[in-house]
Amino acid sequence: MMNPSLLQFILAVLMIASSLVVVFHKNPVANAMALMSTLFFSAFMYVSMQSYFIGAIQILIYAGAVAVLFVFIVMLLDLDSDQSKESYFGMPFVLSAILATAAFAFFSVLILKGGLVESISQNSEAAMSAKGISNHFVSKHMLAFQLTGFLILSAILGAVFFGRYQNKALRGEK
Amino acid sequence: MFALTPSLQFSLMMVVIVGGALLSAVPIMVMLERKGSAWMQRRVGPNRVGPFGMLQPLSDALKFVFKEENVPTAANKFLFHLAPLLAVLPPILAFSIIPIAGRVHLFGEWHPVQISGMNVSILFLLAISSLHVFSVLIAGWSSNNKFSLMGALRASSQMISYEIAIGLCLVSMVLTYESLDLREIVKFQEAGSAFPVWGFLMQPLAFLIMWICAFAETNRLPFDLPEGETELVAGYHTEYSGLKFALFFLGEYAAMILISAFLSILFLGGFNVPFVSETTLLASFQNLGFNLSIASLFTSLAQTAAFVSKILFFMLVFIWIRWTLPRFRYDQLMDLGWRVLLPLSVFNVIVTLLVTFFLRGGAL
Repeated sequence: MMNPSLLQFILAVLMIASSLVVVFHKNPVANAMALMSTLFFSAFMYVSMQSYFIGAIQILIYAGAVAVLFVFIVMLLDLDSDQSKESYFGMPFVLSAILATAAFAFFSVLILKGGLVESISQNSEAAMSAKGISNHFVSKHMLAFQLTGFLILSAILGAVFFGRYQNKALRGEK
Repeated sequence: MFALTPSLQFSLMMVVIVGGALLSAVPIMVMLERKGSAWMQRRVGPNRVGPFGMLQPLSDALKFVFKEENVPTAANKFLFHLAPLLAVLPPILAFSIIPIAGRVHLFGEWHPVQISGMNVSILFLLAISSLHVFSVLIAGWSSNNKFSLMGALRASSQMISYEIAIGLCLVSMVLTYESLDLREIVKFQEAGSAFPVWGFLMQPLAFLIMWICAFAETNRLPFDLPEGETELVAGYHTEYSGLKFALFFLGEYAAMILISAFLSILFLGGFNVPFVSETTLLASFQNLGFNLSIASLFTSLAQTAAFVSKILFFMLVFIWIRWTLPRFRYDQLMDLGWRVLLPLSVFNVIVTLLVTFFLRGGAL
């Protein structure tokens, strides 16, 4: 296993700091911006591990499209910064804290047991290039790839349905 | 800690050259735009400062520096100051992977003439330039001004919509060139025989769609609704003044130069000199009696000149269109993006897929 470099430590600290801003800042726009910077730093993390393709895709899709949509929607709805975060330590907080701890424990056990990191770094040659990744997609992980496609398709259909339904309701009121 | 290898030295040199050229190209483009618009409208244009008004950009820059900066009291200060930086950073950053010319033989090694290369540079360029939206969004929102916010919302929805068509065109271009590396894409278009295999001859539809989208991505007329003066004062940068406004200006022109460079790499053969391949150029310079380093330097200079003139062509068309076409209405803009360009680019991807599939013999 490769030892993490100084740059990767700095990136990790920045990632954690900005993800804390995502959770704890009162202003929704600041939350969305911090989410963007979290994604950006994680993309840099990929690049620092020589996975240019994953890094570029991370910025392109998550920071460049998804986070922009978040900011866009927050601005469009003009969320009030005070009322959205009133009940900080309610049920959702407890639930997500439990889930986050469980996920953290799961990955810690996996890493401490060994094998996971080695298997990833063995495949890093393939992960570096677009060709290697696409070969994996159409051979070994074909089923998961197709299923993800179906999932996204159903999400699109759901969004279209809700959009049309709401418009009809609005037209009915008038 | 770091060893200053020849390739690193060359990269640092390229940073200085490319950065300097880019930043000094912006005032020249502004001047060209003002003069060009004046000629198109039968005016004289700026002609007071220096010979033929050539020093006008200098005085503009001085004015920007000495103007009072006004920060609205109700603005979100941190984001308000951050937005102009984000406007300038992505286009300049993206220039680091643009191949300027072929190879040059310096310090006893061959170096590709560009700041830095990677095997997925198309994706990197697309990713970095998609961050340009953030500056507009942040600027509009943090100003705490209704006109600014409207401009920002318009700009972001417009840029996101047209990015999809650009992405799909890029898919068909990548399928044609079978590479994600800009340098290899330029290599592909190098003159082999008498006829140049430039991108716009192979993919005319993608060329047209991407060219139209380039106008929308850079918020230029006829798609400059984010800044529509008659409706929104000045759109997302209404509240900015002095140097911060200058940074937005710089970012806009740098983005125009970047997308012109991108279009010329994808469709006009990048740094390829028409009808002459790199080896022929190098050999002819060597035949004139120069040694290898000097000959390769001259070759890359000739290629840079070809590349710059292709960029200049796109920039002149940007200016020409701006002063020719009126502004679209917002629904027309969205219609064009989603109902015309998007289906056309999907169609183009499908046709490209079929053609490449059958050209390779129809077997997997």
